[in-house]
Amino acid sequence: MNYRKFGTRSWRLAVSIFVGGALSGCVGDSGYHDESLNIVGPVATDRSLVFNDKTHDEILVAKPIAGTLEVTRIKIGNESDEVSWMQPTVDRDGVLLMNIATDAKQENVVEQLIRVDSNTLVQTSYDVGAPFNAIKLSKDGRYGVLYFGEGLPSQPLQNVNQAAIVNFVDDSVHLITVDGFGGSVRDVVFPEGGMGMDVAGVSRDIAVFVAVGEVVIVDLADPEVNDTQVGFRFDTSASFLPSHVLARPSDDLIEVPALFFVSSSDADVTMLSLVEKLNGSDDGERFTVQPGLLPVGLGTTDIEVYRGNDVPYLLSIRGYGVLFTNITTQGSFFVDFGAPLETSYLRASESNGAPSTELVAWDYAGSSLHTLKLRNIESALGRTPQSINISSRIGDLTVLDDDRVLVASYENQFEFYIIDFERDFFAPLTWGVPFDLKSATVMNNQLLVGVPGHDRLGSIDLDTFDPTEIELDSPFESMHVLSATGRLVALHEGSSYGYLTDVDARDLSRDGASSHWGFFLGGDLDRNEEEN
Amino acid sequence: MIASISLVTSALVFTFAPAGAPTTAEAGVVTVSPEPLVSAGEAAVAPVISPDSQPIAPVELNAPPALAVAAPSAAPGVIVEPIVSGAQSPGTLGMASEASSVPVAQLEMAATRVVEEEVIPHDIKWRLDLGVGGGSYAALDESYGVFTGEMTSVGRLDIDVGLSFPIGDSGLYLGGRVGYRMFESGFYDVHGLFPANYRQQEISFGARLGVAVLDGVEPYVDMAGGPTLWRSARDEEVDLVSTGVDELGGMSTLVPIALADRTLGFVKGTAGVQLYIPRHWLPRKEGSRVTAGIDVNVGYVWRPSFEVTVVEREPVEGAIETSLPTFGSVNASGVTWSAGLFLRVM
Repeated sequence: MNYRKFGTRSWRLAVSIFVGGALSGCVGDSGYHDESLNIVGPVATDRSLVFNDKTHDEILVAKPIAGTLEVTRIKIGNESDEVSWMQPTVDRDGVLLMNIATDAKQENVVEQLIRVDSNTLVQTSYDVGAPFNAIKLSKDGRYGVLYFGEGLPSQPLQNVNQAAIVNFVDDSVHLITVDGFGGSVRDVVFPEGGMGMDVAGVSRDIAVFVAVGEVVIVDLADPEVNDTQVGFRFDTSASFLPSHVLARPSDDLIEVPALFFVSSSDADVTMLSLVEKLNGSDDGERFTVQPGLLPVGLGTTDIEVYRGNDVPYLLSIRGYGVLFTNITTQGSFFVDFGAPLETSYLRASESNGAPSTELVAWDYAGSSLHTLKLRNIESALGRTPQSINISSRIGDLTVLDDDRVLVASYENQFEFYIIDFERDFFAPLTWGVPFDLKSATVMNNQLLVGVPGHDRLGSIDLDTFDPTEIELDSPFESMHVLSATGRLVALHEGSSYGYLTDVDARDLSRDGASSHWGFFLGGDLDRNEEEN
Repeated sequence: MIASISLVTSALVFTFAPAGAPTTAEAGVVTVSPEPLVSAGEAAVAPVISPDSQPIAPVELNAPPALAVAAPSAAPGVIVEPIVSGAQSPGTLGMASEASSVPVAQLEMAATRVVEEEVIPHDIKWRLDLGVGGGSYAALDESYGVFTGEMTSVGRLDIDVGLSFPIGDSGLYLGGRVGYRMFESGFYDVHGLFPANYRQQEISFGARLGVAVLDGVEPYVDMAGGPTLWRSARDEEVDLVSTGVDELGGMSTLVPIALADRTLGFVKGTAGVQLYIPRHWLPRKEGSRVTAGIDVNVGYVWRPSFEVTVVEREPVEGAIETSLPTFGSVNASGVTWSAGLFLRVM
């Protein structure tokens, strides 16, 4: 066949195509896999660990199940918003997320508190109207109060006394501005016994907003009617800030319920009796307070309320003993403990086979733990506190249950103690790693301990005090007990890709343990461009 | 157009019956028979025949060569090469020594080859291509980017062998090819955390249909398929599960990991062009049997999606059983192109 000449121009064209093609292979679309992961957490629920994946606007729920790890991702919001913080619910059956705008330019974002059930992963959203940075939950789990805590404001223009009251039972939200006397809310307190408090025949759920020099009492059950109108500046000192708040419900001794406030800056305990507000300006039921002062002297560091035989007592912990004050008459007596005291709590006990109450008191860095039986107490006569001496000085103390406390040594970080008041038993324990009280948890009569930065988990049977230990393959940065499934989970250090070890909390052994590596990256390739 | 020139010189002996009869050279147009006018010693040089040339019947030689005659100048456009005096072909020499019963002039002359300005290519019965090259591969799904970071293309080595045959005089060539390709991307960490990298090696079997539109230009289409071996990155580039520090400051248990190996098929369709040195540029005027050029193609390759799973490369004795993640599915189908050099023997 005939051919035609392949000329110079054609060759130039061919070379151009070749070079162009070669260069085209050196460029490409940017992949999203080069983006750094920003995952924070976790928060432990009763059956899972929840992480906040800020990279993908998701939360990642890691649930250990029978040696496997079930990982679920839940989309939260979009690029315009972000989860600013997480917190478990009171009984850890869910996690609470605060979803806010990423910046001030995102004007269409509605701030929401989102509750995610740990079992069903069902989301419930609450429009709370502001990017709150703090939440307090009532002990019964019915209420959550969002407010602006201390620290830098989350937005330039902010009502610092704005708050949102979330009712997790009927899923209602009440937005309020704490109507005080100019102070900024520092804390929200649910006083012990304050839920369902009977005030003039009306059940009220009391929360106290604490500010410097003032408190505001709010009925959470009906905050719109019984809201911040009951603010009261009760202190002569402008810097008064309650360190303890107690509630004493009404009973047959005192019909009027009361709140007690103590501050280290004041010599008196302030009592606010909650009474019906007469001559209200509207039809709503309201309550107000009648203030009173209980002179307990300077140096009170803790208070308790106790119902004695026909006498309502306020117990003030101060100095070397406890001052018992009759709330009704303000008459008092002092029980000398012979040692400095700082903190106390009341535990249910038995005395001669009858139910009783025992006061437990100690001083930080002291060498003894003191108890005092309160049954039938009417005076200091015949009342001799019992002491349990600690071979080392008392550091942090955690109340494990009614009968037992866990005490860290103040002097020796490798020592800790378990004290069983019921059995009058004292168990000194040592561990090869510095002990951290914050990472100790009780589950099913077992004390589970683990110290971040190390690779060992321990378990102590609280009946036999028999310790068991397991050494993991790698140090961990946090330990979590999943009470619903009986698992103990250690999240390892440097696990920016997700690395944890799951152990049976009831049987610590390497045979029953399983590690899971890289679960942050699972399914990463299945994302499409819109999801990233 | 200037056709390529093919020239073969042979020593031939012709016997003319009448004296002074014109030789074929004198006629001005000389054609040479493709039949074995050449001696055995010349058989290595194959004559190139014009398609329209008429073969000349061999002439019986009955007299020894007595005269060497130089051929006259060729007519314009014709090159006539004279025979070298005394040149003899062993075979013809023996024949010429025999007595002739007819007294005719005996001439020993050179057979001439007339090379026309028409194309006289060497017949191509087959072609063997040996190619080596490189190129890139660009998956269209972003999941593939996990192996290359910002680059969705990876370099590759491409070696292939092809054998093709002409389809009549149509200029089409159909053949089969076998190739080996290796893709290997740079070292890359997924989200800066995990060093994911695959080396891909594939063996392809395919068919190619090309058309020589010019001498030196041959577009083609190619269909190929075969297995792709996805192998994890080099051992020294795998990560370690644990990089913790024990009480003594040393590394705690380490679990080396790698991506799970996969063997999957692929199907590829490409279109390209071969640009090679025109045969008439090469020394052998009747058409070289060897040429070389570049091969550029682009197309689409389909690969089945597959799961990318992390596995323990060397389980550590006594370590807690560790589960490793599946990153998800990679869709590795996409555009492919390559460029390379090839050597053609035909």
